[in-house]
Amino acid sequence: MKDEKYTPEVGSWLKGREVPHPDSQQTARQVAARLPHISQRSRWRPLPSFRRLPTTDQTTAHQPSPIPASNGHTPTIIGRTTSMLSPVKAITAGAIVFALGSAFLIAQPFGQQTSVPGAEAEAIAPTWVTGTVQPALSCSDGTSKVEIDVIRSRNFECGPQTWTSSDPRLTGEVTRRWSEDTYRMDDGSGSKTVSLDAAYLRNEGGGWACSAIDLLDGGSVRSGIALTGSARTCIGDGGYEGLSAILASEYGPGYSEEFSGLIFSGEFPPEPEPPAAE
Amino acid sequence: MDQDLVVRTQQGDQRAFETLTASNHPRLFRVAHGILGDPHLAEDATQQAFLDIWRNIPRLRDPAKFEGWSYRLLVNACYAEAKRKPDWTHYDGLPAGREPMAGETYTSVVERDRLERAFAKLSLDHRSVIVLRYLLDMTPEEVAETLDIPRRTVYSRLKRAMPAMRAALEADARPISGAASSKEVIG
Repeated sequence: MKDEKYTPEVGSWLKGREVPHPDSQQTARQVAARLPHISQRSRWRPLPSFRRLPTTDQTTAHQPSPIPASNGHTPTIIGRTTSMLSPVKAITAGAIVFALGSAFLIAQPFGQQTSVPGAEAEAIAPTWVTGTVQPALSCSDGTSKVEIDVIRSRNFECGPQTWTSSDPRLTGEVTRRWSEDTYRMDDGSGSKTVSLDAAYLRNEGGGWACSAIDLLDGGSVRSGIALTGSARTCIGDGGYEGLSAILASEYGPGYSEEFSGLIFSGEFPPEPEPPAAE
Repeated sequence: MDQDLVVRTQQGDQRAFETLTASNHPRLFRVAHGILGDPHLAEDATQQAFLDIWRNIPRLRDPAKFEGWSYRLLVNACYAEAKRKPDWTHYDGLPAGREPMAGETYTSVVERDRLERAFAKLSLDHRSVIVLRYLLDMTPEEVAETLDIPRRTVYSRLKRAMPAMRAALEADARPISGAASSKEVIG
């Protein structure tokens, strides 16, 4: 190649190029003097994302069974096909039950509640929860496939991470996996990454599958800048079946997090119906 | 050391950031100067990059990635600086009074001048890739990650940059030992 002879020449020229040496301390002082006028971006802006991870039962559990018509045809299901439970109703119901002061309701510590598998599924009162996620001990790269103007990376994994929260149901060892698609923008604005993050928590009482979707300015979750904060939505499994949680996270270094949110019985509100066509 | 400073900066510690700035300024300035070629523009771009770093660092998830991440912000700042001052690409040749330094000959000075001129004719995209690849000795994969572009784009830019450089050099070719060149050097 004719151009190859220029490569070492350019390399040595670049390295031998005269570079002035501005006073780094002075630059640091000048930059520092401007900091009071520049606010840091918040680490995380909660933005609800009501995406649910599919669970084994989800696809069938909420589908009403078709009732055979007398003429033998299977009727078409019209209207709601999912549970009518919602957080608002759960809160209202919880408040009413609590107000009755029934002798059947005796406040119990969480430790006792979680010691009974399945008891949480019957709990009605929502629980506000706060917690932290310890930095990941190790992370491994996933697989990447380069296509035209998009890099599809799959199954990055970090873990185990320990979640410690005010509620033992959301305390335990967690494995996080995420996949991401990085799009090269034609308008010269760099690249943007869409990431789907999944966290799987297990403890003695059951498990949770949590998911969050993020948009990042940059090439990957590891080095990109989050443009959107996202809420992690969690679906209970095993002993926590029937429970849901929504957690707003602030991400910190090393994939650590601080989160706060709500554990409640039932599902997330259904999608609103689209406006009627005129 | 730097990681601790990065974490403290993420928590809003201005003193930690000042230390981080002082320790990282030389490497970032060197790259900015490599891309822009002008020390004043390079200093402006570097300072702007540090302000961008301060603004965005809370959202950097992995402190270990700080170095590469800061290069990306720096390159973006160089783009912005170049856009703000579009005349910067114009290279007027060696400054008047520029004398060869110890160990230099007029020939090597003129040769560098030719390289400088040729490099200045490259696009910013090409220059950024060349600087990261040949000044910092990054692999194409590292360049791709730093600039946040696909790896094939890095290869493509490198492949196109060198012929462009060669063409610029050939177009600028002139007798390097001629009297005219010597006069030009002496200014």
